[in-house]
Amino acid sequence: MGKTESDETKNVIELQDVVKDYGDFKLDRVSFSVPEGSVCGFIGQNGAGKTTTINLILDIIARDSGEVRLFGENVGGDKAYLREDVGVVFDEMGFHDFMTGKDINLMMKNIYKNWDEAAYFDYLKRFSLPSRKACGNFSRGMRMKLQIAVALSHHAKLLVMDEPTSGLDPIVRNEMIEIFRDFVVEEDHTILLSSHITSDLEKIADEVVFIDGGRIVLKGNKDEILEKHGLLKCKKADLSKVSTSLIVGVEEETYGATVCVNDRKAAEKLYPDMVLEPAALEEIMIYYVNAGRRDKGH
Amino acid sequence: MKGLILKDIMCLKKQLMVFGYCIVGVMAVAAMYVLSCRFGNLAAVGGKIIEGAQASPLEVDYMATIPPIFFLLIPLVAVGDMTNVFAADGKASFARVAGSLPLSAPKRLLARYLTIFALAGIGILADILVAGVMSALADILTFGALLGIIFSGASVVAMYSAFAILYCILLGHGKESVAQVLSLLTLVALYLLLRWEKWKEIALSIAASDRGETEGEMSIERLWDFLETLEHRAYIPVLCALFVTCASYGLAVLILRRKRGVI
Repeated sequence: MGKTESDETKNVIELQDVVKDYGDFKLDRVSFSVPEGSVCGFIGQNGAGKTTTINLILDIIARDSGEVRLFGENVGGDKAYLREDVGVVFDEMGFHDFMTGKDINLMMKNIYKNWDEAAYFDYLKRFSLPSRKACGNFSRGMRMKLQIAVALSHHAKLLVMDEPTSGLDPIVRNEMIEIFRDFVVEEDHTILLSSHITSDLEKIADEVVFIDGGRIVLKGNKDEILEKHGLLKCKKADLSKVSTSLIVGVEEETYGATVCVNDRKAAEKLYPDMVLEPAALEEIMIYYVNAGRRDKGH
Repeated sequence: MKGLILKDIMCLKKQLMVFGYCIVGVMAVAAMYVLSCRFGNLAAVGGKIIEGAQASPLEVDYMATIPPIFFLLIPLVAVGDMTNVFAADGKASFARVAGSLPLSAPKRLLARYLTIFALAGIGILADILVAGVMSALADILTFGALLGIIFSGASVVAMYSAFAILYCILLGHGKESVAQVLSLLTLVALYLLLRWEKWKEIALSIAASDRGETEGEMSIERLWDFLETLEHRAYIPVLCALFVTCASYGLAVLILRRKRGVI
């Protein structure tokens, strides 16, 4: 009997049919996994359910049903120790404004068993963060770097980041991507990076999970997704010729139409007279979101 | 867990600074008071009251005991309000960071309860200093009796904090002032409920005294019973505080099972 994929790869995060219903918003049977050693980009527009999913992974909120596993163990109950190996970066800092880098060190070294004081102060130095200044006076970029310094200073094996690059200028964003790249150099280091800035994810992600309206609409290897999807340019009159099974979404323009297809090779064979271009993650995301909205409209 | 206790104490940094000034002020006023009671104007007034038979020497002694109780309560109250920690955590949205730490919600909650004891400990140590000054300067109260008052006061403050934590968890962020009022009301209600018969008796005694019935006066003296409890039976409020703290923790854990993101 041949080995299945799950036998070969160890998943650091696994979600199986996870449901969380807030009444006005529902995370609906979310299932995906993040293999060890990978960078998983968690894409979705604002309000798609990324933060709720991350909160469920970290057991910050309770799920209504389904299973969430971290390092192979079910989260919940008395499994807080699992978070010993998880570094977390939120979109907002979360530390009290009066706290200095030194105060945070004092707190964290009395919480994490593997807290590395020397590494923490090295990161502060590397990120040019003053250790005696109250973090309430830090810029957004500095606050994010402070969180990353904390997340990396207890020898975490998994980094979970919720929109860490949003609201940052491109130079700081690039700097942060470099930090994440350094982190995943180690084989057993994994990153789950949620963002709506797809260009960042295109640079670093191996896997992509795309969520919209509380549902996973697309997941898989980033390169495979980019390879499979394409933008087919055609005349409006030719739209009916395109097989509906290939269509993710259509955008009609003044003189023609662009069709996002989910099988570029098949489209290439079937419609050799039409122009087929590669699609970027952002374009794919927009087509899926619009298709979802259209479906809901019907 | 120790890290969260340290963080909570950092949140109360300003409160602890006020506490420092408070200790200096209380020590000065307490010293002046006990000296006046022993040698100054208050001693003279006490003498005149006894001479004029407006009150018995015992009652004058009791009356003189009331202000030191308040002197000793001030430092404890100044250091013992936990609602500020909830307000600070809410303002910083710290609950999400706390939730990502390798500590379960009951442990995070326990850290907050342990902070109460740490703060009560600071208050007790400061009060012992004040009590030392008071008992060294005059013989209104013995050091032992003052210790009884300190531990009784610390127990009341601990009970208040335990209720405050419970209400903060129940009501969520932004409702700290409501939690403060509810904690005070609960404390008063609990005291009245436990001592209902006594309060009824005192009320009846006062009414009887107003009507000029002699047995009423005998009972009014029992009004001073609480001084006896504070000075010599401090183990009662201490045990009550331990019970209330444990019950409050148990209830808060139950609430946290359903409601997360508060601590």
